[in-house]
Amino acid sequence: MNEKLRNYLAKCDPATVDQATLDDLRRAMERAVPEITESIKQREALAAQLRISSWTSSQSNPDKQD
Amino acid sequence: MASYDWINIQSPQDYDRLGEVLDPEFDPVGIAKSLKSQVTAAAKGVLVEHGYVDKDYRSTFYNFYAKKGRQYRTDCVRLHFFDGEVHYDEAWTDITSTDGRPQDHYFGYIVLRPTIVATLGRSVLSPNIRQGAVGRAIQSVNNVNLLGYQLPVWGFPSMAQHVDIAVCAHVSCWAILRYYSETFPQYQEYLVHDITQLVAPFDPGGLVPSLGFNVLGAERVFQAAGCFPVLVGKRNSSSDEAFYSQLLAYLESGFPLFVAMNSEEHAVVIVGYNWRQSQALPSSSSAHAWTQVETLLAVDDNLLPYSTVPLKPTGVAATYPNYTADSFDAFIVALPDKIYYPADAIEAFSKQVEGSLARMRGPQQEPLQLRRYFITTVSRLRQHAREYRSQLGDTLVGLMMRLETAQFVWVVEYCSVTQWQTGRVAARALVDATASPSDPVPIWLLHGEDVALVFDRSSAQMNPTAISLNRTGLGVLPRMEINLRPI
Repeated sequence: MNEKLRNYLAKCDPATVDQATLDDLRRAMERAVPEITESIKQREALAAQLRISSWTSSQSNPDKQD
Repeated sequence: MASYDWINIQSPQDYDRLGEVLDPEFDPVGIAKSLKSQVTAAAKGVLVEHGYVDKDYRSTFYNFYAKKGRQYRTDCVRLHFFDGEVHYDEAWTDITSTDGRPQDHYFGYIVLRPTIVATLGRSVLSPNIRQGAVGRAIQSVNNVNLLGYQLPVWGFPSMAQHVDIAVCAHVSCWAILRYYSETFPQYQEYLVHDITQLVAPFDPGGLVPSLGFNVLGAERVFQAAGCFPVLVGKRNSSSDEAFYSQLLAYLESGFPLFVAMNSEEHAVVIVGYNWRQSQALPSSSSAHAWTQVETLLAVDDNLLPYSTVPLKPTGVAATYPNYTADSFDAFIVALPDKIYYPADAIEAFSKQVEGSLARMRGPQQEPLQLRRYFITTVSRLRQHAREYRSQLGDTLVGLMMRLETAQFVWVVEYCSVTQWQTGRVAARALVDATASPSDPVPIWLLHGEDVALVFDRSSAQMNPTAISLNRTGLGVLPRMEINLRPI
């Protein structure tokens, strides 16, 4: 943390947040990590399929213009 | 040689006058038909600029049309749109307006190519004259030189595909990259023919581009142009909420999205959205803001830009475009460097933090029912803080000005449905967009209405400092909508 921010925080009125709440927040953030890893893995697996799938953008028909 | 014609637009039928002033190779009849049905009555005058040299058409002319047996012209035509305050003085070859500021009455331009079919070329039109366009859209300012004036217009680049040298996927890549090069100086400008060259590792000649390309080809274009594409596919279910949440997150971050539709064999760019007028009650206790989206705005090469895409089939026959967000199969977001924490990571993170935040707030507070997240730059964030100083309070604004963050941050907002309706939020988190997805504490700041937790990301422990925001009497926090421009 830079000096200016540390000094600013020191001048602000402190708030009381109990340690149990902070621990709960930290645990929540930590719980997200394996979920994120799994979700990225699934996204990449699907993307790999899409890269070799048959989808091709064909030419669109200009007559579609209304 | 440049020459000009002026057409007064009192009724849509006046666009038929294009047929009197344009040669048939510009397809004035087809263009008039499109303008009649897709441009609002706000456009009251069209200045036709003949003999215009268009760089994108020339790139295809030099590399394709000039090689053909049919003779193609080298010049294009530009149509400039104005409101009713502007008049054309033929004797002085000048545009005049009652307030002396024609630049304030300009709606943009479209270029017409002399290609006989699919003549709608490079265009930057204001969404304010597009039938049905509402909500917010990604736009950049373009300065247009006309008759010695510099006319600014806010819009997103678009064009119709050439059919035989570039198809919808090329045009979608071109539109995104042109928006980037017009908006951010670090991106190079690519012409239409350049895009056809970037798709393949070899020179595709004239025939191959017309066959289109798959999402791998689109990724290659964005990579070659210096972007870092992320491909997100939809799982089998048409209501894959994770897919649409990510789509909205990147869209709200100001990144236009290349969207692929297998069933339509089509690609479009999604550039905007519109919130529902009456809020939808989320089906679960923790819903994403996607549940509040009414329609999306597309730049589709078959139509003028900003066409309205409903989320589900409406049952109305013969509406254009004839697809819905249900038809989307995949999207590519072309990210800049230094965004390492993707939307699926922030989705999981924001869900987990929501539970903890609700416990922190206690049961007597309004429930947190909606989550929303988007990327922005710290400079844009500070601009917002400065603008909303009176609502945020001096302590929070001072904190935002001093936070030592990366250039890109994820903003996560939590609110109740009632707060959503009034554009308010209960709590907000600023998350490091450069964090590794395995970072257990990727956060800079978490704050509600009264208390802020400031995390020290320079220390291994990353313990927060809790401060009081001293916001007594300031009420609920305002929602941040800072990346897209209202229509």
